[in-house]
Amino acid sequence: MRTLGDDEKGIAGFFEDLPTLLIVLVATTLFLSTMLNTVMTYRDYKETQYIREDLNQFIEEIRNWNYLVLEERGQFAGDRVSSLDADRMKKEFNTTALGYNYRVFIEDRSDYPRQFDKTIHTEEIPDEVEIYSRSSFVTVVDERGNEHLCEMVVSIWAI
Amino acid sequence: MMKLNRDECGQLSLYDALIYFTILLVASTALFFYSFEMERDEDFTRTEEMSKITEETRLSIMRSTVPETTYVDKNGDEIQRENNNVESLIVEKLYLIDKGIESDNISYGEDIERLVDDLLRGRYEWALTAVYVREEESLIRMSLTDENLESGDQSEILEQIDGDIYTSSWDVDMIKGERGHVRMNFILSPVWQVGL
Repeated sequence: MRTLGDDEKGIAGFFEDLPTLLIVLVATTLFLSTMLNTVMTYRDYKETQYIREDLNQFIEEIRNWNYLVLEERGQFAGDRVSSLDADRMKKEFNTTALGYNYRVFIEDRSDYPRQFDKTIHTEEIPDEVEIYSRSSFVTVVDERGNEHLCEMVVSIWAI
Repeated sequence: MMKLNRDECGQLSLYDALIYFTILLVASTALFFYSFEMERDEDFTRTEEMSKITEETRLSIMRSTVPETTYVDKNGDEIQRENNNVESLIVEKLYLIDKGIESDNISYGEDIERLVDDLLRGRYEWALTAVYVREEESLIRMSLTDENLESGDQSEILEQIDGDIYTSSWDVDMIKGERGHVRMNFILSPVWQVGL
């Protein structure tokens, strides 16, 4: 059998072929699987990052929306929350061009008898779509000046 | 050994294969660690997001009001608790303790704990500590916590929390006419990853 030292012209002998082939196959498989995994992780990471940025920015815009804000960011006027509807929201936040639709849900968590629960659906949520949600805490001020502690859940999904 | 480009027969030797293996192994390792780098970036983004959520949550809780209630004090007199926001109620409670007129029946703390617990239960562990500071001296301490945490000063509470901890600190003036201020600290720790 030819040894590695005898190989002067880079020609693999019969018994050298198998380990050579094996090493090349293992190395290639290992590299391709790592590359595939990295590409998929990168794609997921970017996709999640973009949609998370969109979601955070959208929440920030709602918290700062002049129509709702009474005095400070995240402090909403009760009568405005009560009269809020999908048309009003769509007029202000038309996110279709940005590639997503949304749903906003405000739940009054205070002990006051009058509650400011509100759900705004811009579009029906399609089946089997991935929905990204985040909660943000806001206050809603009623006509007597009481500030109701509320949870605002914003969900978005790609169109 | 002949180099690949000089290999007249175009066939890989075992030695060439080992070099090929080493190069791909190094490349695979670099790619593998790049994935970790992305996870670290994601953790950083999540930390920024949580800091923001902590601040938003703190502001909303402190600003919210608790419905007015009547309490009976130590002497059996009825006290009408004003419809005040959470921050003012905490300051008022510290004032009452300082003046020695606080009673167990004046359960400002319980109302606030219940309100915040209802809001954050199952998602966050939370605590709120308040210290009445006058002339650089800490006079009275109080803490409000969720049902899983024991009351105590800030360091005692922090020791009980296993997860990531986010805090927000601020000062509030004492009731008008009184010297000193109240140093408050809001602690939030996500029980599971909130949001995405």
